[in-house]
Amino acid sequence: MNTRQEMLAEELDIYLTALQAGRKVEPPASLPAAETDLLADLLALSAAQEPDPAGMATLETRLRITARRRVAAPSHVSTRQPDKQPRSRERGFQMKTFAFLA
Amino acid sequence: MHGYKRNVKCARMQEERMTGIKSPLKDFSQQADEQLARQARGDPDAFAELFHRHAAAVNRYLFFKTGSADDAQDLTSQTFLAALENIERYRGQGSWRGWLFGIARHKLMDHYRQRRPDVGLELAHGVHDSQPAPEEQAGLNLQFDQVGRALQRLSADQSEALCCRVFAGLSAAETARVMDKSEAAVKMLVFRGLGKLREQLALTQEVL
Repeated sequence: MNTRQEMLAEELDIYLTALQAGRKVEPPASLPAAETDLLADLLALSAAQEPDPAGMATLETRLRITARRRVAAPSHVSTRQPDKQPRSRERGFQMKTFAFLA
Repeated sequence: MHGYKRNVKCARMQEERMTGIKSPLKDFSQQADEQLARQARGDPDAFAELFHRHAAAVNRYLFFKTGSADDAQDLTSQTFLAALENIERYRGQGSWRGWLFGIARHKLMDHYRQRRPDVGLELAHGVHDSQPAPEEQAGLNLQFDQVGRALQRLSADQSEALCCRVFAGLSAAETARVMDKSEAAVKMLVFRGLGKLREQLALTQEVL
């Protein structure tokens, strides 16, 4: 890869990072003004694109309800039912009990 | 995002009405995404906080990729539902945001596979109601449309790198993880992609 292009790409990345962090920085002189202007315009355009508030609120409700169900019934952790413990343990306990009683 | 945040209270009230469970107000502002992701395995409010932090960026990325507000909304839903279902699979390797955008990208690929081939890019069609005045919105729609069409003329990697890095606000490292490329390669894709985007916009004599 061309070293000069790599350097310009790095400078563009630093400039973009600064703009996204809300810092007021001068565009690097090494980059064409038309491109740094376009970058600023794209960021402004991006900021103008907001999701539908009603759709997002509905989605949040759905996510909260799904998350509550998951926490209440964590099937992802274990599918074993409490009443289906290994019978051998149950039997073993009973045998010990009988032995003790005898 | 401000309009959406105003609806957060509504979402909470709606949820309380539907489930009968009161959600305590919690302050997660000091917690990093990765910490919240671990907490979200047992705390629905932690996942809701992750949603607040990243929903707009995911939606924006999907909007610029699909060219449709409706598709972006649908894919945003699919992305977050999949992230919730698979939250245990996030092991803290790399940023949670990068992991989330990896899911968004997979959902987008599925969308492209299922899409009818004759559906073209018509950005901003189906934009929701609670937006700026009609003239202002028309101007924005035109700009979305111009940029969307120009993005389509870039290579797939250049377009992806620009969408992740510029519209979604991912860092170069996060974009590299999403795209399975090196940071240096991502920086070069953004640099060359921006140059080509400018050429395309100039070619069509469209001005931002």
